[in-house]
Amino acid sequence: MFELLFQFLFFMLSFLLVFGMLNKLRIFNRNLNVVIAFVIAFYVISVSFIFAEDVQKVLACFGILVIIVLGAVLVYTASGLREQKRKF
Amino acid sequence: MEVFGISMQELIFSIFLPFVLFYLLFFALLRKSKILGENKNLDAATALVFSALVITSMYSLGITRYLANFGAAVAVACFAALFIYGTIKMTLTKGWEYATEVDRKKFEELEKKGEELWKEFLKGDSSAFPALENVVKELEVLAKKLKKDLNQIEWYKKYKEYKRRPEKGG
Repeated sequence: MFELLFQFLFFMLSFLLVFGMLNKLRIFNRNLNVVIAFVIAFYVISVSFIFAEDVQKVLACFGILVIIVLGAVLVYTASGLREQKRKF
Repeated sequence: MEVFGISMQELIFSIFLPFVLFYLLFFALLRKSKILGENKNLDAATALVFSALVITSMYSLGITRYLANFGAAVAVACFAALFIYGTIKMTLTKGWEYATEVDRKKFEELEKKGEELWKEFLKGDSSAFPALENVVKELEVLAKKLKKDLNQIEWYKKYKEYKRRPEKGG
C-alpha cells in the first residue's frame, strides 16, 4: 500500500513541478503544458520503479536535514545575530 | 487504538505533526522563492505532495519512530546553543562593567596608598611619583567601574592640578 502511495505522490510531485515551471516560462499554452507535464510525470514514474529505494533514502535524509536547518535558523534568529548583520 | 495498523500515538507524533511541519516549511519556502510563479494553489499542492512524500519515505525506512526523539534533541541543542552564546556574549560585552566586593576593597587600598605616596612626594621624595601615577591609573579604572567621583578625593584633586601645571606653562 505504501509503495502505491509513494508512486502516486512521486507522479503528482513531478507533474506539479513540471507544470509550474512550464506555466512560469510561458513557452506553450496552458493545455499543452498539462499534456507535457503529464507525459514527463509518467516518464519519471517509470524510472522511479528502478530507483524507488534510493529516492526514499534521499527524501528521508532531506527531511532530517530540514529539521536541523530549522533549528540552526531558529538559533541564528533568536540570538540576535541576524539583526546585528542587518544593521551593518 | 490503532489506525491502519499504526498506533494513535505514533500516528500523531511521528507522522501527522512532522507532516504539518514539513508542509508549512515547504509552502513558505515555495511562496518566498516563487520558484513556481505567483500561483498560490500550485504552491500549496506541491508542498502538500512533497511533505507527504518525505513522510512516507521516512515511514517506510522506519525513521519516523525516532522523529519525536530527534525533534526533542534538536530543541534541547538549540536551547543549549542559545544559552552558551548568550552567556559568552554577556561576559564579553557587559561582564567588565560589574563591580565586585574585591574591587571595592582594592579601591579603598589604592586610595590610601595614593594618599601616602602623594604625601611622600610633597615631602620631596620624587621617586614616589612614578608609583603614584600607576596607582592613579588603576584607581581611575576602578572608579569608572564603581561609578565613583574621584574629584571628591582631596589628594587626587591636588595631583591633577599639579599635572596640569606644567602643560599650561608649556
